[in-house]
Amino acid sequence: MMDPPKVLLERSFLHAVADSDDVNHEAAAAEYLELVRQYAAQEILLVAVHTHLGELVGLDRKHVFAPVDRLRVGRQHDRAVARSQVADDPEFAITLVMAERHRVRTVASFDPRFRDFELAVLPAAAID
Amino acid sequence: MSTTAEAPTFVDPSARPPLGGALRLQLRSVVPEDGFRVVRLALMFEFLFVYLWWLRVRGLPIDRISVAISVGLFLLCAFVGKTWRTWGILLLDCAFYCVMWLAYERTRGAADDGVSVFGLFQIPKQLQVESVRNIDRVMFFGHDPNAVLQDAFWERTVRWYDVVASTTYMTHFVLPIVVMAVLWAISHRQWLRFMKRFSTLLALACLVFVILPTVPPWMATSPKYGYQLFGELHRDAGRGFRHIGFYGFDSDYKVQLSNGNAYAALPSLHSSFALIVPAFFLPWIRPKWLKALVLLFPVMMLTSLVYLGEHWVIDGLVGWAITGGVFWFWNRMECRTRVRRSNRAREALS
Repeated sequence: MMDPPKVLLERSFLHAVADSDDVNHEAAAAEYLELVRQYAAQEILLVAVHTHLGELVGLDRKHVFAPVDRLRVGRQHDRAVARSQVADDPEFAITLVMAERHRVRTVASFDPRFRDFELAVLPAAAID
Repeated sequence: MSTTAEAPTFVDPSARPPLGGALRLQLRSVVPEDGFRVVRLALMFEFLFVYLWWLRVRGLPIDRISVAISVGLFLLCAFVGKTWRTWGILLLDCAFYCVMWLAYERTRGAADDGVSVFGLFQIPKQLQVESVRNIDRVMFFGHDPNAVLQDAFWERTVRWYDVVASTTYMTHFVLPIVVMAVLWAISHRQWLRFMKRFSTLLALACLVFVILPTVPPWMATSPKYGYQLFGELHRDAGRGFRHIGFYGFDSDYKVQLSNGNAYAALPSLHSSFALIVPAFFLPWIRPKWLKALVLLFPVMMLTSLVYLGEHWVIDGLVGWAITGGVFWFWNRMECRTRVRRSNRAREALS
């Protein structure tokens, strides 16, 4: 309510930023730098599901994802994943659950499935 | 005073036009909602109702224990159904909150025998009595603002402005605590931002209380204490509040207030708290007239304090100056943190 809008960096986006060999690396890096600029200007908050950030060992707060806050997954979130309509893909489901619980309206992702939801998806060029 | 603009300049990316134009699903249609959200809201409204009833029937809880109990009950209502980790963080927050107030209470009377600096030397206790009065007299061309206001307005019967002054005075015991509790419930990030400023203000004020113990005007004019700098001032800050049917909470807890440091006039925490709340929310207030209106509150508080004989004018001004300094410091620190994190990200990608 009082916080700047949150932008959730989804798993595919995090990997694309972190991995220079990823096919989407350039687009991801460009978008991420723009998001970092908005973060520095206090226009947005950057968040990611903590288990997704945890997959990128060494790239934590001290490095490339220093501006990103972690959304901690609790048991109640896991239960919500199990009861969701997309429970067959837990990683996708947990992102949706955390987006809903934390009132996220913007997701940075290269996963086209996020286009099906009432979310702004970044980078825009990747899904146009 | 500069306040960090957390809210007003957002360019919300979700405000961009929808892509593709196709009908899109709401998240709630796919993932289950947090069922406890409604329960929390209902409990918080119930708490508000009971609090107002208690205020009317038993009085305003102003001692630390009653306030802590009411805040604790509110938090129970506000955190029902949250994750265990959130509860853990809340417990840590509560521990910090208690330590902050305990440290504040402990500084009361710490300067009774002077202050020892690392055991190396002793700063003798030097009560400020005439110095603060003289500063006020310089600012007001030889007049004592407390005496001038009481001579002009204080009457045997309670007038409407007594009610305003008294109620404004009493908000000190409620307003910052309500703000903390509400921020606790709606945004931990904003709670942290508020508490950083609040606890720093409290610490600096305590430091001044210890180094520069100051006699308040009501004491400086009372024959009971032997100062009698000028004609005795009336002292009954609660009479306007009682006049409209409210009371200070009266129970055994009252003993908690007996530890009050009577020499803690400078800086005025009443004035500081009355400023810290509007100053914190200022970035979320858009209309300039509304900004000006909320900033009238600390002015109203200081005027009330002077009229009620509780503080010198300089006490309030120093309180405001410390509050401004605290905001400047934390705004700068938060900005530096954001810039440092952003630079790390940029360097890692370059």
